[in-house]
Amino acid sequence: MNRNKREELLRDLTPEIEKTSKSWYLVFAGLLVVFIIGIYGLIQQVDKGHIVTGMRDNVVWGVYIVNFIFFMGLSYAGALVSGTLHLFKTSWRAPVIRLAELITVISLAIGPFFIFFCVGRLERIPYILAFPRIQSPIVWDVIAILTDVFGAAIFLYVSFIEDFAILRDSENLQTAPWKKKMFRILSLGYTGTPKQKKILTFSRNVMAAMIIAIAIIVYSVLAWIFGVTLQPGWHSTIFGPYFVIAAVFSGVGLLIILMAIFRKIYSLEKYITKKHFVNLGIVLFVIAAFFGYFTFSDYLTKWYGSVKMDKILIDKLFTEFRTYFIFANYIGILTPIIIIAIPRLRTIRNITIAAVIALVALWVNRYIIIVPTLETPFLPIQDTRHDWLFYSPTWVEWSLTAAGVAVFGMLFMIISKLAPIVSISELEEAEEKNDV
Amino acid sequence: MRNVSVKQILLIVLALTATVSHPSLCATADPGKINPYMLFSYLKNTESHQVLQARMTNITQTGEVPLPGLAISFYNQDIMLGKAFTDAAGNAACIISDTVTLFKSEDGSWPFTAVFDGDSLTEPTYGELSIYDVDIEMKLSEEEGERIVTLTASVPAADGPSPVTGEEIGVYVPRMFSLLPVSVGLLDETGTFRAKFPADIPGDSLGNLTVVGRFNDHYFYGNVEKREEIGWGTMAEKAPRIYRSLWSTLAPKWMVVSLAIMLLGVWGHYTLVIINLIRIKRESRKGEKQD
Amino acid sequence: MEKEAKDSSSRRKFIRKFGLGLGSVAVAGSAAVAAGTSGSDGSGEKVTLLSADGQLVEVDRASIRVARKETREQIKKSHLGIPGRKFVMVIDLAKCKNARKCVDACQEGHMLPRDHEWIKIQLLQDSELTARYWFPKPCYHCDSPLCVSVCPVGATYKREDGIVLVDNKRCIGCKFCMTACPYSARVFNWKDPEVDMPKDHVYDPELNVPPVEGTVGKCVFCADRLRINELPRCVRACPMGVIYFGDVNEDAVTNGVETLRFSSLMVERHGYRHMEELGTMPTVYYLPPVDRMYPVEIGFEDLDESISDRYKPQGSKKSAKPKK
Repeated sequence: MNRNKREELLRDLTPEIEKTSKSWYLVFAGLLVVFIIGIYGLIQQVDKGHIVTGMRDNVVWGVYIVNFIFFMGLSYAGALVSGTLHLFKTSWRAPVIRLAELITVISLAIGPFFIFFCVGRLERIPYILAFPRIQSPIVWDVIAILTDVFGAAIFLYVSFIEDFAILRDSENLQTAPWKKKMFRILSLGYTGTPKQKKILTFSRNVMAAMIIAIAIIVYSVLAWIFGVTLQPGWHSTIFGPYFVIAAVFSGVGLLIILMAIFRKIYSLEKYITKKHFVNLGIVLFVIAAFFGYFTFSDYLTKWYGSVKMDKILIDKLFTEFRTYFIFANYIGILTPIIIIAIPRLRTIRNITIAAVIALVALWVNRYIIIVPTLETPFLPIQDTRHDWLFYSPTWVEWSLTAAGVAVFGMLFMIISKLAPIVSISELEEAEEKNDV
Repeated sequence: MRNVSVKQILLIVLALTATVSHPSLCATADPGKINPYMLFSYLKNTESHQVLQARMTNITQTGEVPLPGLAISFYNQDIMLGKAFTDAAGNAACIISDTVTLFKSEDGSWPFTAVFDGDSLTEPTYGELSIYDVDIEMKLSEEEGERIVTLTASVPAADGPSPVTGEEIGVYVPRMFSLLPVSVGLLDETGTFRAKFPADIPGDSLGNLTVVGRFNDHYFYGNVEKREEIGWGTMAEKAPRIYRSLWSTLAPKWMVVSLAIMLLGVWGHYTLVIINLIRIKRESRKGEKQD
Repeated sequence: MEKEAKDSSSRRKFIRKFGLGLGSVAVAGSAAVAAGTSGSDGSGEKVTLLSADGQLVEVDRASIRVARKETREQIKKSHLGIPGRKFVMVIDLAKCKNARKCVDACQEGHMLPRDHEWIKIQLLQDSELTARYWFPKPCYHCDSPLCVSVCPVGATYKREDGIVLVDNKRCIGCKFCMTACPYSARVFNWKDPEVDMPKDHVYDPELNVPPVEGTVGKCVFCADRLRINELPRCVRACPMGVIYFGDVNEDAVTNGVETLRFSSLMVERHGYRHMEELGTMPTVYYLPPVDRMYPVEIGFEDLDESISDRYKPQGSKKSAKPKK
């Protein structure tokens, strides 16, 4: 093992673990405030009931469910991106794989909370485990998400072991004793003997394969929550794969954005280079194309047949929700495709902008899948109070949405202080290969 | 069902034993009391017992609400026949004892009255009926494969019964909420009404049903009926008790099996990985010892 | 003693006002009521009463004691249904004139807030050139109920007699059943309904009162009334006799005035089920709005403005919703 190389890597990647800047605290405090506002909103909702949300008898699911699907989708970054990159031994994966895995675990931890917010009686959530009916897609979902969270956590941990060992062994590391102790315990006494290495590689491969399989199941099950109902716009056989593709789309988008952020603030320009952005950009391009294809296919069949309910829904999407529709399904899909298709436009900045647009568009896409369908039930909405007809989210819903994003940021920031955000062992391995 | 009815009665009595005298308890918007509506009816049942029934309801804007627990007194002119409390459905009834000799007014009818004296919540009210006595005979027979119900009605008199002619009478089958009319028609000059009984009326699990011959809410006779149970119905099918379906308690088998396989597969692999992690730990200890 | 009397009297007032509770209490488990000899007066006074099933019973007033009932027992019982029954409703669209008595009776009977309906009256028009008609819509108590299939905790269930109930002590409020129901028959308790109940009220899903904030409610076919052989509230309340109810195993339905054979009614009046093609197999049948007794416009007469507003075209999001 090249000692100098490792020293250099440690020098570049560990300063964030050793010391914490003032701006870090500032940003963290800001996010904390957002989080606290969200908690206040939640208290309001629990106290006064769901009347404080914009949801009513027709649109019973709103922004909460949109966020739920959205966050669950983000977890795909790790599942498919890091899982596939690992299994196929993609050469450029080293600096991004850790980020992707972190996204998975953190978004998986946040996503389900939005389901809890949407549930009328929070204190009865344990009933799902106490009295499960396995015919219900929600129970499938609970089982699948629990399985996924465990799997993603194990996968993340397994990939961390080598790094913990490196950090444990590095004498120059200036950090709190409790962190060193943590590294020692978590490294499981790994010293890199051939046998240990063999076992670890095997474990990582098994988990990578598992995580891909489970991720597909989780998101399909999520899609089936909508697919199994008879509602126009939801009752679609394509929904399983469509949602999986959408999830990867958002996962890759978020990965690119986080790469750009950490590259800048943690000065990782040397490791995360344009090559990574372009490569992930190409992944985004391919996924965007698939996503566009699924979207088109779904709406084309609905529009062409002009079944009464489908027609009403499509009409609604092209009138009342036109702006959303155009943004989500034209701009959101075409922007990444165009930016990456034209080599001259492939700059880090452009690719990041494309990723941001893709991510926001995907959120809007989820919104126009959920809300317009609920606003077009089979029997026309009648004989109900007028201001109960349409949905528009209230501050409570927005505050909790913002809180979800804030928690995502906070968790990322905390973890980046405990362990390197870029895998040292992976980089080492990659560079060794390059040397050969 | 008997148990149920006893319980209902007990409860009503409980409600009554409570002493109520609170002016603010009135439920209606009007400061006054509930203004009850009484439906008073007479029934001569299949055992020729005479029963007086009073149904007490509160007719609100939204419909009829039964008034339980009200004391109703029944009279024949000045003779007190009995007193009863209304049940959950607002019904009170009184069987006229065989020992009572009923007073007959000049035209030969019995005058009956039901009186509610009112209480702290409810205004008093009363109902009146005048009923002529009549007897029904019902004969169930099968002629040339057809089921026939023969009803004859006669008025008892000192010089022997005389047939009732030209009045409407019917054949009914009791159903859960009401009597289902099977055939309704007029009595002929001999006081007879013959009706075919259809073969496709559902009975119980043995195919039994009750046939009722009845003057229904007759303006002279009130309700007078004869009942008889006979195996003229179709047999009720028993529905299977346990379902495995999407909506039942038990899930379809394929669902249970595939879920089990998937969960075992995935969690099995997790266990495998965790065991391997423990092996790494053990390897390191071994290494230390060798050193 | 005084307190006891007050509780009982409030209970009595409650019963008179809403005409409920007693019926559901009466069908409590066998442990509910016990006969004893603890009467204070011991007068031996006899009471003759006509029970729900038409039997005359004589009981001693003094020998009565009522025990408190367990809600759990009640819920358990509500899962079983009434043996041998299979309830069916027939709605005659030719007679409906949007009198809304069914809605009122239902709301009052189930203590629902004014803006919370378990039965709605829709104004339908099947296609552009066809006639409009009033369309009362309760829960259809489907034989293949999607709402029950998707419930994660078994809070909503279909019983042997065909009735689909919601146990609002179990319901977690995920609203999946609401999205699964293609008929929008379910409503959510968005806020605390603030219903005062007598202290000794026993919750029974068959009546489903009081509503609980954060849970789902819907038409229960007045399962509590069926226990005492009484017709559902909407059937009794309808001044037009629009709604027929009965047991399909007995082949009879009644609207409280006339009793008809279900099978002949279906044949003669061409009964149908709404949106048969969805395969949910409703137990509510409709008779088509032919030879109508009233013009459709009569349904708008005497309506509260807040109600008649509900039938105006919905318009766009902005015009319908003045707030931000």
